[in-house]
Amino acid sequence: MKETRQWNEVARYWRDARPQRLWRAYSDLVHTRLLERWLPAQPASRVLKTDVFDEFAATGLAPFLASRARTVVGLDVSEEMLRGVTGTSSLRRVAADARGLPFRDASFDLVVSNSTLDHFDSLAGLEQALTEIARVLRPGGELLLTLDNLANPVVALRNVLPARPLLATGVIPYRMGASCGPGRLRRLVDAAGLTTVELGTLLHCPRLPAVAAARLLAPHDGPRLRRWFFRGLEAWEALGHWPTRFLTGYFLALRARRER
Amino acid sequence: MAIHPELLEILACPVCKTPVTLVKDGAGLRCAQCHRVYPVRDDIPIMLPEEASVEA
Repeated sequence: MKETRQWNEVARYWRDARPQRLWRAYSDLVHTRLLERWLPAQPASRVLKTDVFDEFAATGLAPFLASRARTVVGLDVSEEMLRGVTGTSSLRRVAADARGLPFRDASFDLVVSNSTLDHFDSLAGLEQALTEIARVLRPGGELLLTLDNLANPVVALRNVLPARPLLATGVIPYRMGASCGPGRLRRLVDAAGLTTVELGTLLHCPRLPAVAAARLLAPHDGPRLRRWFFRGLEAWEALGHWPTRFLTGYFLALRARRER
Repeated sequence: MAIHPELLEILACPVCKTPVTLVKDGAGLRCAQCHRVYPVRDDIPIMLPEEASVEA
């Protein structure tokens, strides 16, 4: 399958070059903050994470999820990505495509999908994956989803430009896929049989300069540097409370529930 | 180490969603409905239809 080949290649490159280590650590931080805000109060029994790129490239979210759930299942379409996840021994790894989930109905209390479903060629892939997620959630179970926010003009422009030069210059680390804006996402989630509980945005710092700064600072990486650098980047998240949030957020962040 | 029992309990065929059972001394997972057998490599179930073999 094309996706498996593509993500195996990404895994090989990242394993050898280990790029963006500092940036990925910041990405983990903002996503963990979102989970802290949105995770249901009671511990979950089973959690599904729809890809393990976070855990492959840095610490990821699995250790935090493992502290709040009995079982965390990490899915990925790339076997090499799954093999490269070594830091989290409690993660149960499964190779599969999010558009065809290999689980029985109502298997999970929680599905965490962090920029997985914005990597398919068309929105049909996103629709299919949402339907599958709704199927494997138990009634009352929740989906926490992030994906590229096409209402942000920078993201929209990046996604229509030809990928090859962007990849060659390191502007994007891997090929992007089809995504949508907040209104469309709400409709797709609804059509999949889920109810949107909250819809917001994530990652408001200017991404290109931030990634470039992270690359320059990486040789000096340490607890002190992380503290002030991450604090500076996190200050931008205040834009998430502004009415303009859908124009500045890189990711849409959605919390949805399967009612019955 | 084999596939964790908790995971085995929820695994199903990605095509027909029927529960799968361990075969070949734990080296495969078989769907009773469509007879696909999915490989298990280093305890990782490879639940991709193009990786499966079909056994009658």
